[in-house]
Amino acid sequence: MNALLRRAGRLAVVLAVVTLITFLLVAALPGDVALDIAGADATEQEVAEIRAEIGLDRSLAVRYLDWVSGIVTGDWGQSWRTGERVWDAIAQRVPASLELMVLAQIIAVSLAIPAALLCARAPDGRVDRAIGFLAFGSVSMPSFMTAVLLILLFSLTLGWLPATGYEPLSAGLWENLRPMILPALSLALVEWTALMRTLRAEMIGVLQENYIALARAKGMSDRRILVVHALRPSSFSMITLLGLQVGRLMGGSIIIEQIFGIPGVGRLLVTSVFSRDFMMIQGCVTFFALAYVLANFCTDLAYARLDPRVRGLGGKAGAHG
Amino acid sequence: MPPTRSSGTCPAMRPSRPDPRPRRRGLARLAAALGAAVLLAAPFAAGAQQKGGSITVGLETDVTGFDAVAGGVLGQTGEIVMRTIQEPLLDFDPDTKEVKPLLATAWEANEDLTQYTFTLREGVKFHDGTEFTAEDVAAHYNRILDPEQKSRSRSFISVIQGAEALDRYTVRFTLAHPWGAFLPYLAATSMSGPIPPRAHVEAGGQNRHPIGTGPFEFVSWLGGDRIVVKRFEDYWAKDEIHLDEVVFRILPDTQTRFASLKSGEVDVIWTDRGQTIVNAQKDPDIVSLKTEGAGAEIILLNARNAPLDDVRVRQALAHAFNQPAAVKIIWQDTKPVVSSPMGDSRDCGEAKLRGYDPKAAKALVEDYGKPIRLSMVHTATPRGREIGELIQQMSKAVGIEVELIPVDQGTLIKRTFGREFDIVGWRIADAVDVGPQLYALARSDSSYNLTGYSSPEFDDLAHRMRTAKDVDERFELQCEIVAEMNDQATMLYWGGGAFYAFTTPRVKGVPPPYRGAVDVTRAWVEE
Amino acid sequence: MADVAAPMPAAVEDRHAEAIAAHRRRRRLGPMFWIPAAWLVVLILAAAAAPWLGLAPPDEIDWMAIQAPPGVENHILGTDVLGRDILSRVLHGARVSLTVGFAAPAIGVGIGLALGLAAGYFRGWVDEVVGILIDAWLAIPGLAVLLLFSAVFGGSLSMVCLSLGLLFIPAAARITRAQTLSYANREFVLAARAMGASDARILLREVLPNIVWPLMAFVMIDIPIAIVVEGALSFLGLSVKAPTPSWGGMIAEGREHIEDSSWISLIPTAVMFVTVLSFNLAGDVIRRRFADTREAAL
Repeated sequence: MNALLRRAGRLAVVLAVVTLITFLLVAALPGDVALDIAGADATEQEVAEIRAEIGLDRSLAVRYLDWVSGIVTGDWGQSWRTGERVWDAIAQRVPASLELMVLAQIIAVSLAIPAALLCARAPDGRVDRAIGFLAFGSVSMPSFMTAVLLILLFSLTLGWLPATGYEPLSAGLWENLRPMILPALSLALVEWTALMRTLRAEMIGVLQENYIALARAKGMSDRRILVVHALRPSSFSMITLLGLQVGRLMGGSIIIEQIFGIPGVGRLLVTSVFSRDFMMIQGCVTFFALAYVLANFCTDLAYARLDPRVRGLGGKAGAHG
Repeated sequence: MPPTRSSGTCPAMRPSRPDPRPRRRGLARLAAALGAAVLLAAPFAAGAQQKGGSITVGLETDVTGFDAVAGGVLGQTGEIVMRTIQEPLLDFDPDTKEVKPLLATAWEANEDLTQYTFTLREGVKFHDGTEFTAEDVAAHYNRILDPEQKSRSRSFISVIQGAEALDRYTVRFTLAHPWGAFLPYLAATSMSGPIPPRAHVEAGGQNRHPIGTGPFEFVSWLGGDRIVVKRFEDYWAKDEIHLDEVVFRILPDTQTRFASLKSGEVDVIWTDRGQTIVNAQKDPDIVSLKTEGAGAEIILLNARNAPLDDVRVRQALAHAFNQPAAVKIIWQDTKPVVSSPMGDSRDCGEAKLRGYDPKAAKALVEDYGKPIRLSMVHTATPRGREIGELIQQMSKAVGIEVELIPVDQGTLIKRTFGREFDIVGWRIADAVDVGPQLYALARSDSSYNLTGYSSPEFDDLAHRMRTAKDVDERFELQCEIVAEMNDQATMLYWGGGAFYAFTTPRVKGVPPPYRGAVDVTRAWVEE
Repeated sequence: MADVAAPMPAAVEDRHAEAIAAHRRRRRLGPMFWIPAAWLVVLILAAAAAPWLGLAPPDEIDWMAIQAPPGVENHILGTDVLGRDILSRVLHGARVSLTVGFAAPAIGVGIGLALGLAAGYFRGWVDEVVGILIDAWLAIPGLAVLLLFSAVFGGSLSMVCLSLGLLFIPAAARITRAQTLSYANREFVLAARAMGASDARILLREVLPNIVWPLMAFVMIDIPIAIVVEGALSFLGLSVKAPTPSWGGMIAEGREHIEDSSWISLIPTAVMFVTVLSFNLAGDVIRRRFADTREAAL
């Protein structure tokens, strides 16, 4: 537990660095916010007043500390463009983003496990190679291209699924899921390959261990061995990988939300970048970082719980996880 | 339209005659939209309009806000939403091209047409339960007219000197001089027309939580995704309203917007993308609504900045620009090629338009003698990219270098008003009378003089146009203003006013777009 | 097996590679290498020679052939919405994609190498600081960083390469650090130190040569990633500016016309897909070779 505490402390430092990087980048954005707010025919004096009002006349360090302490106390500031509270705007959009990522992950896992099982049964066999090649094809297709093709096929040609939009869960489960299928699939078709390869390698590794040979000697069928004995230990690396993938998923969701018109945090970020909405950009990036760090921390926790070896050895070696 | 005495339907008569308006409107509008076959069926359909139901409208951009000051420019998509929530004093009848009563039931002008007194409809409630009174009208207009507030709408209506509440239901507007565009402007559904409740505006709530007297009240707004409105039970003409709810979905991508219409996820879309329009018109399962009006897609050349302050450079750009080709590529010929933004209100002829003539352009560039480097601000949308790259290529062909700066819609508006551009795509909105827009673009003392071109004679011309009492003379002077702008090459046209909306067959009672905006307030669904 | 607690994708990948290495040790570079490699060579040559191939300039509008389908006269692959030759645009776009594809990983690996060497060799607070920096950098989604960078520094090709390069620092630094750690206590390093060699000399002469090759294999994986990410950026309109064509931008421009003029989007999509796939396939073969040789060396 001590190790976990240390790790939490380190995460806090990491987050401080993240916010600092974000803040500096945003501060470097060209354009004068005060001028923007004041409008075209404002006088020097008015611009200066606005600058003072929103605190832009203070030093970078003061502004940074002010902003960070706001985040700690739950005040993420206010957009200077739309007048929305940053935290409210983000919180409003989290459900859509979260749903997209969870669905994508579910699809990815349900593609990866059977594929890995098939591969691990006969490594380097025909099936293994075919799936391996498929995986290469899949990972070579960026999600935005997959999205364009999926829309062409399922929305425009077949008319089965909507090409855009988001319905809250309150509209009904199917109504909610329908417009999410294509975006989640676009993301999953890239993500499943990493999961599949890891699982496959793990399973092959496990199959070489002694107790499997024993089970095999006892006359257990290959399929049973794979599912019962190999899948379970392999799921440790899966959990880790799922945690690590959170970062990639968030990156991928940014562009997918844009294409499918999903009102998520990623789309908020893109819109904010285009409209130079400084506070909103800062908020979104910080939120992503927070989510990533927390997801990985939870992964570590889950890991520590699942695998007794980690409790004894853990912490130190996990420093770079 | 002669701005003399006129009067409207007595409010007391409304409830006694069931559905007087939809019947008339439905007839005329369906005729335009659906053709003669439906025309015959319309009287029967009109009697059996289904109550209830919800429709979804696909919009291109989000609304920046509903407050007349903080919201800036409403834009076409904003007007579609605004129409359902707030109402102006007057309504405009696209068939007769006349204004008619809405929140004001009658009006009369003084002898020299500089004072108008309006009688307001009594017993009209805002969505927050407060009563609509003359105070709200006066406060709304005086706030826009207050120079301190810096409302973007001010320069268009600055002829109005002020509004005054004479009693609870009477409001008087004082004009600086007779103004032919006054009544049409009161019927506008842009920022200045629709009346919000005074107290709510003063409390700062209007921008993100609009309240009005309209048939639908605001429910929720998820930025970048949707705005939901529901039927207002205390609406003063509630018998005319059939829908329970309207959902506005923000779908920036035209292709997905159209796909959503085809799949029925969305019932009504507005679009100006040529390819989509051509496809939609071919589709038998989609109802096309079209209006041709005034206004134009324009390109502003900022004459304040060097080298565009040199008329030769502007004229070279004008001669380099191939409007017919641009209209074909960008709009697939769904908009007309024009030489003025006057539309059908007046034929200005060629109006000294500097048309496509690369030789003349090259000669002007040579005459100017120095290398020309410009930048163009455009939206990061397919439309923006296309016009940007066209201008870039066409200019390159005559030796002018153009750098492109893609931004979002809001930033484009900000930069345009902030004069931070050389070249920018803009629009003259459709209107019965584009005079106020021309005036605002032309005058040296106007905050809307975006191109910065002005001269004492031009100021005088604009003034004479604005104060002209005769409609013919007014339009003639507008043509002269346009000709001066064309000759000075302060703006280029890339298509005239033609507006399209499309609906699924289940939605009835949507009139063709007016001023580019779709009115869904009186629609109903037929399952 | 302390590694289990430090589950890095690289470690997992390594184990994967080692597990199957036995099966493939003797395999030659087969068609899975030569076919992709041939495509890449052709593409690189064509892109390099694009201005001299007698094609229309990529930004020239052919007024007579707007949205012409592939196969029309003068336009083998057709033209786009603005009547520009797609073949020419694809090849000029390849210049952007390939430049970014090679430059960005090189930049990222270069910086990551320096950080990783320092962290792995000096340990202590250097290691700690580098670790925190890398963790922080990893916590921000790559595309978000790129969006910010493009907004701050604008869309020139060199800025795109640089900002994309930053994305490759963390992984490169980690691999370098792990490798450096394993070499820092090997006999030849200890011997050099005993002979009084300076840190810089040890790092450059003894450690660096040993870890450069594994890193090169790593660069091979990064190339297709860089191409994909540049594609995503230009798809959003945030990479190189018009009129310079880029694959992602071409796909985005043709998207609206995908129903009736599908080639405008599909041709750059196909070219990008085949190119990325080729890099992945060829890279995989090379990576396995390195895994084999490294194993043999240890």
